[in-house]
Amino acid sequence: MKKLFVILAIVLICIGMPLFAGGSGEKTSGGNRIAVMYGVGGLGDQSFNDNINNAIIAAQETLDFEYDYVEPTAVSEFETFLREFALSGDYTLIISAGSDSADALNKVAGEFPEQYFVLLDSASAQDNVISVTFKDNESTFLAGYVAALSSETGCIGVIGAMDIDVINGFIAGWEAGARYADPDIEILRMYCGGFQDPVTAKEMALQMYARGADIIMGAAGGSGLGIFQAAEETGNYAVGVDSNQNPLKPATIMMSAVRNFKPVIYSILSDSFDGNVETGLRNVGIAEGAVECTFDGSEVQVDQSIKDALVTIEGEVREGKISVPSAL
Amino acid sequence: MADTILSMLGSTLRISLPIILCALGGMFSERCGILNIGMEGIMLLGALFGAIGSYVSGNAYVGLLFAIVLGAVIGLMHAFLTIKCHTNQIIDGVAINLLGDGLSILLLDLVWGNKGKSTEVAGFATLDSIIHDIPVISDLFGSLNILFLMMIILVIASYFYVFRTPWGLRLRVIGDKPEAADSMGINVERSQMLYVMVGAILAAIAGAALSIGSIRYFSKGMVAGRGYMALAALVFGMWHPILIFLSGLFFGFIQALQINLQVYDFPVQFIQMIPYVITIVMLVLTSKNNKGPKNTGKPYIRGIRE
Repeated sequence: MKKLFVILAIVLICIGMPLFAGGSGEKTSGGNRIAVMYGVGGLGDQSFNDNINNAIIAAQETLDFEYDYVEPTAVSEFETFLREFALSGDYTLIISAGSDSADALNKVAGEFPEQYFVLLDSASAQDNVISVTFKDNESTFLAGYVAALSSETGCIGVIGAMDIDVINGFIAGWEAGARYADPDIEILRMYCGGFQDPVTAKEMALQMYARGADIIMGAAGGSGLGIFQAAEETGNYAVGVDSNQNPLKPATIMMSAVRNFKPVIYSILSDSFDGNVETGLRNVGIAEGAVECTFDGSEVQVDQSIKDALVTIEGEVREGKISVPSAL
Repeated sequence: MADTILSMLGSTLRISLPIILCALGGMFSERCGILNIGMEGIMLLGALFGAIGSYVSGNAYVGLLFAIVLGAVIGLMHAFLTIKCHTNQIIDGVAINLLGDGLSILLLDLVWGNKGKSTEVAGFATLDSIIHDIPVISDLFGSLNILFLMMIILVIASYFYVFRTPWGLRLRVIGDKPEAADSMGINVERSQMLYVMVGAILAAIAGAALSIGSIRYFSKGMVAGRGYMALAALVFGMWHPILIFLSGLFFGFIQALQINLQVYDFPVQFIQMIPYVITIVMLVLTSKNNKGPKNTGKPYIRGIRE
């Protein structure tokens, strides 16, 4: 009896699995179709992945295409998903979101030279890959500049997720901007060890505030929420990144250093659908409207004189008069 | 300097609270002979249900109640499968961790329509309002909340229960020699089911301490390995409530130290490694004379001899 039950269960699971797993929908011929593989943070991060998703949905209003996506839960799954997408041959573009997918993408792109890929947040040397990198250091430079001028204690902080190039790009801009405004500013820097550990990030922020910092930027994905909480509890300020996080805690989040995926994604998609795929690296920043430092939605008072100075600095960065370091 | 040390000690208490609570839960489970490495998953779901309860009612205590009920349900499930069905306890624990990962995202999406994080929910008030005027004490304990007091009471109560009451004696006998307990007329399976549930409830409360007790959000994967750290604290604490408390404090202190060391210009990877290296070193040093309950990991089946 027990055995029968076990066999029955196994059979049911075997039948059920493909039913639940295979949600890719029916094929339609003719139209354009793209596939997106998101980073392990997945949708709902209100940051990197959500921004890309929103940009694609926005592009769907004017462009006619279908859109499939997967949310891998581990780096080890990247290669399989990319190869599955490429093997199907259904897609005009296969978009891979996040620098940690670069290795998998390079490998799969080499296997399918006829398939076009897009790599967001990292550069690829493959001929069939459009890679996009953001000059986040330009937006965090502006945020660091404002923070240093607004700080009352002469001490600001930054909490990164990990000691890796992409994160350090954010931090390098922040520190350079702060020093540009005030060469004597003290800057605390910590790494919380992951993108999904807001509790540790909060603890780090509390320690920084206790050490005299009064404005902290998070470059830590989902962990950044902990920083905002610490700032609110201690009556200090925080700075958001990636998307405009000001509305989350308007009285606490002073500004956000944001990426605008919409113009970038739109131009890549519309060019590709028109048949003009331009592979190679696109390194986009303030000049392309791809990054900015925004106060929208924040209720924190920033001196008008600082905002005026910011406009000047922003212009100089745009024109290349100030060159912002991209690495620590 | 004194301020830095005080804030670091405060940080130690905050970090160690969930680890101690969870390790204490693990103690009840392992003391009666049932391993539960699903602590990580139970903490995650406890954090989620704490947030859900607090979200629907606007009251953190209701959140705590939700977490307790969730812990009881998962505990009952683990107990039923391992004690009644004799499934492998390790595999079942892993299954709970996987379940926690998937189910938490599913429910997050159902309740808040977002797969990454919840909205802000009501959290426990800090003790700061009560002890604000006492200088050193308020620095140390001010940012803690009622869960910290609860943890202290639970640690002391557990100590007396396990080592000073007849029920505690029976609990220890079940973990060491279930057939002896059985011959004394103790209902082994029923006791085990009860203690596994108690253990899971404590782990779920530990999870709630992260969401409604700390950042007032639930965010995906927010437990970040604390459940496993609690298992290390349990072994390091030799399945003894007071020693678990101390080893949890020690882990918290190492973590707080790690955070504060980052201010200085060491390679950060090296600093982040410290807690884990120390954990391994301490486990190696202590494990030689450190024996847990003798019969953990094996289902007790009446009448079967080794």
